[in-house]
Amino acid sequence: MLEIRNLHARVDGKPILEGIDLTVKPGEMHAIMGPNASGKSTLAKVITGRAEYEVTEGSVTFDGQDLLALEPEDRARAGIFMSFQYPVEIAGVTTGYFLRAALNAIRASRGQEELDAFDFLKVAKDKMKLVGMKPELLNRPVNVGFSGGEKKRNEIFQMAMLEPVLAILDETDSGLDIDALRTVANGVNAQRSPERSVIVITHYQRLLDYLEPDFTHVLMGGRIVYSGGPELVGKLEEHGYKWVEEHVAAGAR
Amino acid sequence: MTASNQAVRHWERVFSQRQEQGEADWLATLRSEAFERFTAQGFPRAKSPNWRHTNVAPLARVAFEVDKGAAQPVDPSTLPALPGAAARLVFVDGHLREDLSTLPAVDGLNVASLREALSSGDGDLQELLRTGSPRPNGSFVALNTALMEDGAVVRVDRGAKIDGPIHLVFATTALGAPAATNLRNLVVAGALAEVTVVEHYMGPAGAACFTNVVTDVACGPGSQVLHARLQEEGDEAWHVAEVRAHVGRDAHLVSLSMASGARLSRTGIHAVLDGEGAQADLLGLYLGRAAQHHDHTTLIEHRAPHGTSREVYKGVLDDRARGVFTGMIEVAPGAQKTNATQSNRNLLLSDGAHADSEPMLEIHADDVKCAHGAAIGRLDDDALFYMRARGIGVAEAQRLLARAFAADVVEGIHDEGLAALVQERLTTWLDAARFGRDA
Repeated sequence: MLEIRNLHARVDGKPILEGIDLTVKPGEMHAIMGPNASGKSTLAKVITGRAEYEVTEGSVTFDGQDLLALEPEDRARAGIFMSFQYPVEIAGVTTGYFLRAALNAIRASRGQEELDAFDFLKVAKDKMKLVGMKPELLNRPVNVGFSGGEKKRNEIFQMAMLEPVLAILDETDSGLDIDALRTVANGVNAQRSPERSVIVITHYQRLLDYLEPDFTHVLMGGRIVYSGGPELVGKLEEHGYKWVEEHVAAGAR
Repeated sequence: MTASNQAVRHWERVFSQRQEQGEADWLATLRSEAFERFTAQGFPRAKSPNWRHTNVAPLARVAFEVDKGAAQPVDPSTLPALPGAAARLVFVDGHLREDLSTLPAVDGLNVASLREALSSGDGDLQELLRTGSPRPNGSFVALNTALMEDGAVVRVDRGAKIDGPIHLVFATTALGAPAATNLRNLVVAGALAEVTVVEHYMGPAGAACFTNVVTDVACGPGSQVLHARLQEEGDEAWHVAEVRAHVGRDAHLVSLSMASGARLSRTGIHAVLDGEGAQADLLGLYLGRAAQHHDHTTLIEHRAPHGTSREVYKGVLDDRARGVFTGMIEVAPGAQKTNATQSNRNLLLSDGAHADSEPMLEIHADDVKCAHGAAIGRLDDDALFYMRARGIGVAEAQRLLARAFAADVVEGIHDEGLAALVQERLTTWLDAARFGRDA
């Protein structure tokens, strides 16, 4: 479904990704771990189309189409969703209005009828329960005055509303206490299906304890240097990223 | 002969050709004194105080005709409607058109045209027309006083609460030669009265007309007045306006100025808080596209203790449009416990758009709270990307963010019908905005 081949990208002229290869099939969950500044978040932003990140080499295809040729909104309409590491506050636009506009834009692109305010509210209230969000938040401006936990819940709630084919969770665990982490993880798990793929980007293993990815990759210096199954998460926790460095160095010898 | 002298010669000819029509002596004197002030000052120049950013030399060069008088045909369906309005007065090319106006009898409300009020020998008018400071639109006010023909006189009796706005529509038709209209409005709210007055200016595209208007607003003790002006003139029009408001003891004035029309508009709002505990909220929204120029020059004078003023002006500028905001707050000695806040923010939608923002404070009392802020910026890239990453198209995301930018001005309008009208106009404007993209 998602095919990343030899992906190179830079920002402000500085190379960040230096040859990523990754294949994600329907229903799979992939964890991408790595130390700070290894390029994890850059990968998420390149996939979703943030303009500041310039692809210099390689390709990304999604269901056979050239993803890099699409505008960010068209990638979202094709079924790609990113849970932001830092959800953006938008004063003057309510969460409900924003999300209905998003949902209807996606529905329209699929030839589906728009949801009116009444039907939207019914669905939204139902899905908010999934992440323990209060319905009142729909009337508040997007993320304005939300706590760190509320912002991340809001991301997973949006994911539930937009029903993506591929969800990328960018450091969704950062800034969450253990209760919020569990709620958010349960919200993600409830949305797993044989058709929906998930990429979890994280520095720590604690979110992965709840999510149980099928594959784990270690990203260092702009490349995936090591891939394994779910057992790799525990090894990394035990030995740290230094162990991977040594392991890779040993393999190279 | 300089261009400015030429302009004054033209207006001297216009003034001398005015029909006297047996006017009262005081009025004739008022006019000639005002005209002398105008000829002495001439039109403002680039170095005139408060005119640094707005060039009216091209306006001064046009030989406008005044008061052509003939009733022009107007399609009533093109006139704007304001939901819930208590009354509607329609002026076409500066003259009241009773056939297009609706004036139901409302207890405590007295609405007339200035022409009618002047000819009926209304005793209070003399005082009302003489008051008011000549700042900041000086010579335009003088020209207006010399040549004023008509306008609306709205009076509200003590304690009367008028349900629904008084909608004053000033329409210009496409006259052959460039025409000038000098309008004079008066709003007088008695003690404890409540009223909303909306001045609404409109005109056809392509007509190089000049609207010069002065409105005096007197808010009696404890009164609540919403005074709004919606400037939607045609794209070749010139619009110069001056609002002078006096806010009495414990009175509350909300002033709104929305400008989206005209090639050049200059709006002066001068609010004097001369009663203890007076409150003034000044709201402004200017929308500029193509090569439009919108200037708002406001002056808030705190002359009595315990006054509160809140000013929020926002500009949204596309293409090569230019916005100017000059906001002066003056706190007189003795106006202790004054609380004044001022904010001007500008959203530039294109590289060619430009905004000037000049907040100014002059404080002569020691126990006051004054805060002001100004900003000129663009749509937030992070917010735009967030919306697009959720599937919202770039154009819609831009419109949503720009509408959100102006939201607090719309939310400050407590008349529902008026707020809805402003919101509708904003939405329509944004729907047609190019956001810097080529036409």
